[in-house]
Amino acid sequence: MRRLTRLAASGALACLAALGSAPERLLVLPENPLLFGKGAEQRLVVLAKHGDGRTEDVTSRALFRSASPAVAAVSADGTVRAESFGGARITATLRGLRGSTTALVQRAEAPLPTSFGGDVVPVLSKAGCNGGNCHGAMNGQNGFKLSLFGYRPDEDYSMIAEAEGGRRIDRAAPERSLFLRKPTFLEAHGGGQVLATDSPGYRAILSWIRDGARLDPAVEKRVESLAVHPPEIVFQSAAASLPLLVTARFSDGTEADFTRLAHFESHDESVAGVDQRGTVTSRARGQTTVLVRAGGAVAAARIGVVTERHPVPDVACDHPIDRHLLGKLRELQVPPSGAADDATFLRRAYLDIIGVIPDSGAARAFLADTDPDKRAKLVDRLLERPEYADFWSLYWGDHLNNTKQLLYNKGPYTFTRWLYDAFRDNMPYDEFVRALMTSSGNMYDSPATSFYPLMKKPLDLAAQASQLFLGVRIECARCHDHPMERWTQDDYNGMAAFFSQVSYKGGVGPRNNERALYLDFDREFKHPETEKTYRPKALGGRRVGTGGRSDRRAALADWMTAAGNPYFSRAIVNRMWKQFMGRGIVEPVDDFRETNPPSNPELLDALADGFVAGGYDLKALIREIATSCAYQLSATPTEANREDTLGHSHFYALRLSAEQLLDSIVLATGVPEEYPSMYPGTRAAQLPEPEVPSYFLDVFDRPSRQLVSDRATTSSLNQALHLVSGDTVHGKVRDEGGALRQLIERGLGDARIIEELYLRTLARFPDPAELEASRAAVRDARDRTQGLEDVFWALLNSKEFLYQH
Amino acid sequence: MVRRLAAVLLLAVAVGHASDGRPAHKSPRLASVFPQGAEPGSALTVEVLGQHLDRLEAVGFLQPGIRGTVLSTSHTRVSLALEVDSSAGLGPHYFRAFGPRGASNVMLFRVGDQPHRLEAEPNGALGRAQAVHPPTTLNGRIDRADDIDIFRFRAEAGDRWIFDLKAARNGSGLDASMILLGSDGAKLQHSEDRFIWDPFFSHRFEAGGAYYLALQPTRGRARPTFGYQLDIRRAPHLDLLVPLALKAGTAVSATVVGTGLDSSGASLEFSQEGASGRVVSMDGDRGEVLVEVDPEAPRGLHSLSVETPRGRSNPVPFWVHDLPVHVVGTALTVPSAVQGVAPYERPDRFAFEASEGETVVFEVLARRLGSPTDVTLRLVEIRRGEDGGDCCPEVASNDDADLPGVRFNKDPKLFHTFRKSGEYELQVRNLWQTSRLPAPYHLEARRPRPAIELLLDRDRIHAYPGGEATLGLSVRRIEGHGESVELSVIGLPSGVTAEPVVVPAAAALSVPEGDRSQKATISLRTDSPERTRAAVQVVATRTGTPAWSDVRIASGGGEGATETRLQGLAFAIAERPRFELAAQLRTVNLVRGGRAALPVELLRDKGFAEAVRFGFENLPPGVSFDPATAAGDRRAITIGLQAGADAVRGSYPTVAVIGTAESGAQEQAPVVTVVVD
Repeated sequence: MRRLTRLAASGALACLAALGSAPERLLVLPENPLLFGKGAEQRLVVLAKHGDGRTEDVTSRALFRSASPAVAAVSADGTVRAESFGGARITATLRGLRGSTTALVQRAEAPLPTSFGGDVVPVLSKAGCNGGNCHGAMNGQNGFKLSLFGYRPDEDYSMIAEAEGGRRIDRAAPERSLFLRKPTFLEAHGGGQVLATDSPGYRAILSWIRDGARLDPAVEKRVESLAVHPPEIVFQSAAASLPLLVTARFSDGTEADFTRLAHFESHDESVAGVDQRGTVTSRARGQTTVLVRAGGAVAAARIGVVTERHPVPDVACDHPIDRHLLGKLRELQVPPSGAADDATFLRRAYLDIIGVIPDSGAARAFLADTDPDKRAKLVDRLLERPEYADFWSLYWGDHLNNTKQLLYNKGPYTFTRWLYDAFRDNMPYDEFVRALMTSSGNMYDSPATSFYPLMKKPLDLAAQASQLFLGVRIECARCHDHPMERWTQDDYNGMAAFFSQVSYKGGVGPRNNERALYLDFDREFKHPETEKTYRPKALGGRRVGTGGRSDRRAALADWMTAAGNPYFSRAIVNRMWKQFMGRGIVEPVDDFRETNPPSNPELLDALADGFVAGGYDLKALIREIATSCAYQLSATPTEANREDTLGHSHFYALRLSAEQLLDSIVLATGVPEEYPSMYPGTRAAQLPEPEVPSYFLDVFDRPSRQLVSDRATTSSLNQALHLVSGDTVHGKVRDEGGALRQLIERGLGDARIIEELYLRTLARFPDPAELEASRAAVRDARDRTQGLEDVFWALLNSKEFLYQH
Repeated sequence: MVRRLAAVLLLAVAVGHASDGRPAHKSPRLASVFPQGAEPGSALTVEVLGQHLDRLEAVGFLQPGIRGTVLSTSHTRVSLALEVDSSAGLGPHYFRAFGPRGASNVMLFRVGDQPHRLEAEPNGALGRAQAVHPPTTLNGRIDRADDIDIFRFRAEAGDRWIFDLKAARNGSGLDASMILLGSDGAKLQHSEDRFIWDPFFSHRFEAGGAYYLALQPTRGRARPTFGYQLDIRRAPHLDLLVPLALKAGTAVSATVVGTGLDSSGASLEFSQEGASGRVVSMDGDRGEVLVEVDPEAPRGLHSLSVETPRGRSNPVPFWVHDLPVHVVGTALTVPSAVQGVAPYERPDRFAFEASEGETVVFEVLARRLGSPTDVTLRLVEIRRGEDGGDCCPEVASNDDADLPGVRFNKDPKLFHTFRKSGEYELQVRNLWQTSRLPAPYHLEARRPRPAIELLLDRDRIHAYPGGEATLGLSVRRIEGHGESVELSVIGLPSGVTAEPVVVPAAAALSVPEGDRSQKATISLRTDSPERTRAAVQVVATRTGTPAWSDVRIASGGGEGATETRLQGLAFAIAERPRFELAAQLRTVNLVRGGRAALPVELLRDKGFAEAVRFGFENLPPGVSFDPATAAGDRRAITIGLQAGADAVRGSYPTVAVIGTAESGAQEQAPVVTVVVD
């Protein structure tokens, strides 16, 4: 495997001069390129590395020399050309510095034959011919239809070379082929000129037609993957540029320089732009990704831009998470905020681990505790609270369609109990997923079968399992190969085949809709439209052992939960990370793909590896995250990290979820919320289904649970109005049996009551200014009770209460 | 379009009169009894809800030990006085009521050995929880919207109590969760269901103090008929006896699986003669017992209970057979019996040889004996390939046999005649994975035992004076029974006659079970006065085999139900209705201070021209109706309903329209729901 290179780039020479830094060494990319076929070419890039870690592109000024020109010659502009079998060391020199790479030439007896999939389709993709707004549209354009991004080369070939009597190809006079004259605009073309007659793409197509315009299985190949060089760049200033090189690896094992055939796109143009030659230009501080697409394959390069240099201090945290996070922050020159105070941490940990704020007693005790290890001990205590199981049952209920709309009758009630037991007992996550995936039996007696709502068919189940447990969205491949990812329809159908045996048996008991899930071992997956039968195949093309009359789902679960699975553990640690840190390392959390790389891959890998090594222990994972310094950072940004939205330089504040908010209001006010036909004291997090009526929960984005997706956390006028003037806060503040009335009845003075109200809502004491302002408000009120109610109401409507911070 | 839909809906609820155009007969229909049970030696008054209950005169229990008399009646409510003998058997008892409309359906009343108490409202908040003292059986109802019942009790550190809510098992439609709360309201235990919808759990209390038990109806579904019995007890609960079947003439060490098993002072009680045994050891959820079965013990279904100083457990079934026991590792012989644990993926495999024309019955008994399995049987032929490889085409399979009287059966049965001699393999596997309990099965491989079962299509029948009645039944021919069957009726009251009926000989069909059903009808001619009644039996004349029916006991409005098997049926000479009523809406919506109209259809018997005056039972508080009388020529009327400003909001599902003729004859329309908002 080639070494991945991370580069820190500076601007132009002028910038270098200004900084007074000279290059220390040269780096020639790509490292050890492979050239296949006589005449194959590879462009080189020479980068100068400076002592302060910055990098500049010096390709145009470097002098190149091949140690073995008979094997691989190199031109003045750094283009290597294959001549004969062997290896040739290519050296670049600049100002006495020297860098080199070794070109390895194979199959050099003749140029490689042209292939439709490997040489022609990428040209069409680069030119945009098979895009969704051109001939790749559902119905094509002007009678000429290509598959979207070339995912069906066989169909494209048929359309180009065979359709309408083959009129688009002129084998006798290839240059006169309509297939060349249209894109070059030598014939009228609605899309105008998309190909120049002197371009490599034109030459590739012409060569293919000259070779007979065949779809010859013997030489046919397709792009399997792309590699970007370098895979990561960190610019040290705005307006700096560096080139990217792209290498394609084909299905026949050959490789080629695909930089000119690749399409480049920046996720965030405001951070860095990229042109269609692959030159990345930094613009403003931040992180982004450059997406590279060619020949139906995709890859990405991570780009960071540092415009200001801020020293990142050493933090006294010897925690694996912090080592990775600080490393990244140092690289981006973003110093972290300070540590959150005890009160903030206390409230944060309660809300994140058990879904509700601490009561005032817990707050007083924690704030008074002088044990240096009290934060870690608090996390341990919270993990053993019954509310922990309720809160995480709620989270998974959201994601597992726990609603009567899909599970009928009492399904959500029994499933909620099952989830509760699983989290109470800290069922290892791999067992949890296996239990869901391989469940069977009566839907009420075996609640894990709720993972299989009757209306979900194998294709739906494949999409759900992939998205939920692997963090991979393959839904697009239901209709076509994924345009932004590697997943094909074959991948999708292969996953669906794992669920082909799922069958239901009705009439198994006296309850309405009562049914049982069982496996019909002989049932194969037939695509509902094509009726083609597919065998089980895991994502990425791996055949998984499903021999004989056995549960294919178990084989899928084996593959998923195997320690080496590249998705499973990363997907869950990323989910949990988001729950605690406000943003996934991959975001959205269920959209892992080459073109959506993690913001901190080393951290993601470390978390995942630790999770696997720790036996898929969710509580241990929570403990790991919650005891890190990163989790305990203040939510108050500094001038230096205010713009950071990826690096977790400060805690990202987020509005409380509907259930967190309502349960916290109940706890603070001491007035329970009544839900129809639910036992007294039922908390919102314990409601088994979203159909339990609650205007408050609905207005604060309680999900319907009919989709497998994260919750929305909107801010709306309705929410504001309900908090300010609705019954919930107002009624509970004024309730005769509520906390405030009891404090007043105990004869406490204003200061004591205000202090208690701060502890109940914000888990902290008021500072002197707050205390004085609150006392003044009480003094100025029409009567004392009303004044105290106003203070309480104001606290419950404060951002500090409404947000996780 | 809307108008057409409305017309369809109206038609759907129109009077369901008899096919001869005369008013349909309305037998008394019992929906619920409250309380649902009592302890031996007690006397109590119970309330029975239902329809067409007016003028009920008598109540009769089908088992000895309980006597009842009617105290008062209305169309939808009956008050009964019950006396439970101190010798009354524990468990379910069944009763019917009788009146001029004939015999009612059967209702369940459970005799239990704990002190019985009544739920007392209000008890829907922790601060108003009803104090109770375990051990106890609480009789309660979730009968109105937002009703939650909460009980407070004291437990000492180390106590273990079983909490067992019987609702569905008593024929109630109540679906409730049961939640145990600590003195601070924190949840300690939560059960949604264990037996149909009935929750159940056992809890060991870590600390002494006050605790709460809340009964919470799922999605707030409540009805006056939703009664329950809540047992808080120490008496054990049994799930299963393993092995499921015992060979006559053997003594077997067996395992009972359950909850609250404690060997101190425990003994075994058997349901019938021929089996005996003792407790060897018990430890919480398992117990070792020694069971001895006499050589002459009746073959078939038996049961045992565990008797303890803390009370008696429920019974668990077991099977007594006389087949040789299969030896593991040897070829399956016929006849033989196999005890196994049903595997999920890889089946248990039993190889054997069979001859052309040989008929073998393979039958699994598992679910019927309490095992949580869904076993399937697959019979394959073993074909030896020349290359040494085998192939095994399936020749027969069965998942769920259609067994008479077993609803939702999960046990398979194959009745197979081999078309050619050769090697075969029987595969047994569980259709799904089970975890909470073991999954034992009992397999019998034997020769056919031809027999008949006579299945009545109802458990009660009526006739009018001087009229006729038709009694329908199925003759189920088991395992190839083919002889003719003569049926006769015994126990008819004087003045009622029935001619024997002969069902002709018939060959068995080659369905998996080898069974065949034939329909038969018997006509009864009456020359007796009204209110004549009797318990009659239909039997196969030659063998004396009695006919039976499975009856479902359900309160309506929910999914909970229980069943019992009744031999024979109730016969009564009933009065002929002069008219019939039907409300043409199922639900009437009223807002407080508002009005609604309820159209009622009236079907008159030939020559019946009396005016009919209308009234109601069970109208919501604060709701009144306009006086309404249908003159002798009217066949429909609309009754105005008025909700006062103080009408109590809620849904009232048992509102009955009552029509009273000038002669005093009364009829009730099927109940409607009135919603006050």
